[in-house]
Amino acid sequence: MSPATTAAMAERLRRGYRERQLNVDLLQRVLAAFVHDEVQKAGLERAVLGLSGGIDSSLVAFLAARALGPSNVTGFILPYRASDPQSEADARLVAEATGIRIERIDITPQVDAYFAAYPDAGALRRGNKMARERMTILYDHSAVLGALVLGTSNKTELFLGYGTIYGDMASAINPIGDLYKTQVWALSRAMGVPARVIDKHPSADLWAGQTDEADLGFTYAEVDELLHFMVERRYRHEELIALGFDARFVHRVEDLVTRSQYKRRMPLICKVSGRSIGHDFRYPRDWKA
Amino acid sequence: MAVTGAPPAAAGTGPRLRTVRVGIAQVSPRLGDVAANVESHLEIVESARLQKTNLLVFPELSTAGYQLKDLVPDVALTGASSGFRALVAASRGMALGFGFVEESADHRFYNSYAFCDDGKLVHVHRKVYLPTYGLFEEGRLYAAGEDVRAFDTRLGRAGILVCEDVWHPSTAYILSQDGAEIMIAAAASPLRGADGSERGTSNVDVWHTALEMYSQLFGCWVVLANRVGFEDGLAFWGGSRVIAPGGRVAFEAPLLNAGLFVTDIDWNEVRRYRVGDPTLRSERLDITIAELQRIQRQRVEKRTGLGGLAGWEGQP
Repeated sequence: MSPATTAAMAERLRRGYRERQLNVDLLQRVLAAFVHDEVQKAGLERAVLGLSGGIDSSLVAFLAARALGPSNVTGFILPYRASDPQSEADARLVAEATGIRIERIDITPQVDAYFAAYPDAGALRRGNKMARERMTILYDHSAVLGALVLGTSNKTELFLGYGTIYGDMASAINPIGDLYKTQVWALSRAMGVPARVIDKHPSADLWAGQTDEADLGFTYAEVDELLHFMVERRYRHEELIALGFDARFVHRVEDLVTRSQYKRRMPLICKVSGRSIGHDFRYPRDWKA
Repeated sequence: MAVTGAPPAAAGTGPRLRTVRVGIAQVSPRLGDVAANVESHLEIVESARLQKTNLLVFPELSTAGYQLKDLVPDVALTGASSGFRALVAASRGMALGFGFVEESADHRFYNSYAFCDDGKLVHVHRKVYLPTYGLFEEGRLYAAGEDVRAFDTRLGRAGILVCEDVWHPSTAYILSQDGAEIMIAAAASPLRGADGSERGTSNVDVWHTALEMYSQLFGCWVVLANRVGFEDGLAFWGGSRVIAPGGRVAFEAPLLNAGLFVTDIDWNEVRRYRVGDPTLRSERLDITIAELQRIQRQRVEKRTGLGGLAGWEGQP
């Protein structure tokens, strides 16, 4: 094929991706039914989640409210002293819109008590610690309430490893873990997540002015398109470049996905017996559930 | 039509309508709990009986659940198992199909489907094509069935396809040539893809399209019994259907919702369709067999020597 033909084909393929529609009605039904089914199979009626004011946890709050009834869902607002007050305001807006319960616990004392011993700790250490403090609070309250902890990590950040292992990545079930960020946006619009939450720049809110896209160096729209062809459509490296993706961008994302694989797996167990967990003791988690 | 065995009572020959009430049990089995599943099967059978159902079909592995992994030997049944015998006995006065893990006398395990008619076991289909790719690992768990056969029932001649069998058109072709007037596709199909394309959602549509095509090409009734519920994050989509000879969707069960869905079909539609579209009579089995044997022979020849190594252009 001539370069002009290749470029035209690439443009056609990428336009096909951008014009795709999500079956949002079916997705809402499936994901809400999933939450309902798994909570019920655990012998419970309730769920808890960390409510950050961002779009991912907002969408999960909407799905959980639909699945379990809002009175069976508690969103935990867990600010640190440096958190943007707008985040809490947005979390409260989502709680009002869904009718779920909220609890607010300031994590500043427990985080600062720890870092008093490590005053030079950088932003990454502090951010990871905050995520893990929030996790322990959610799990503690889930036991008190008889609730499952809902995960709020989307597929894009799971692939990129843009999350804290055993922190915000920890949960019992994750209804949005197979939705790319751009799909989270589409489903959130369909479910009536407040526009203010959908339209703001995604941020881990670990310091003032932080945004995901500035941290990552590319936009979610860009990386979701790349991941679509790379993962869903199984395009190989050279084929991705032929589609018009920048070679450095492709390398960078391939590297992020590879290096974060450990975050997406259970800890490795060294097999020394005849039948070992994670190797050949293979039972479904929903065993007789 | 090459019907073997005794012709079923008045199959498609009388001038009257021949109404058959079809029930589809679109269930969500409890994973790995055969006793609980058999009990719920028996309840559904009784409910179907009260509704005067003639033919009741459950999905693939309906007594066991799907994502069994190491549970397979624990949930396996034989012809002597009490749950199995209870289900066969429960079919008195109707025809009944259900899925189970079968343990053979030499301790192989099969993904099998039993068909009973008026209290008697008349056919067991062992799934031939075991998907072992992507999220599927049936090749690790089961032995593959080795035959595809239609069989006679009081209603007419029937054939069973279990899930992946449907994706090998040879199976439907064989059933058609073996005289099937109805194909029962029992499935445990998980949702894959939720694109809002023109035709709707990805693998749901692909399934429906394939089965509609079989009913057109082979002039038979097709019943899809697909399960619902969730197992380890897999969402089984339901969407069971009854498709008339020629591809008309005669009944659709909802996506995702469990239930017993009952609808009436006119069995004689098979005859009417085949009168108008008599492609079956001109099918050339001899050509098919001869050409397939040629292809098989040539494949074996290709495997000799270097075993068909791609890209090899001779000694360097």
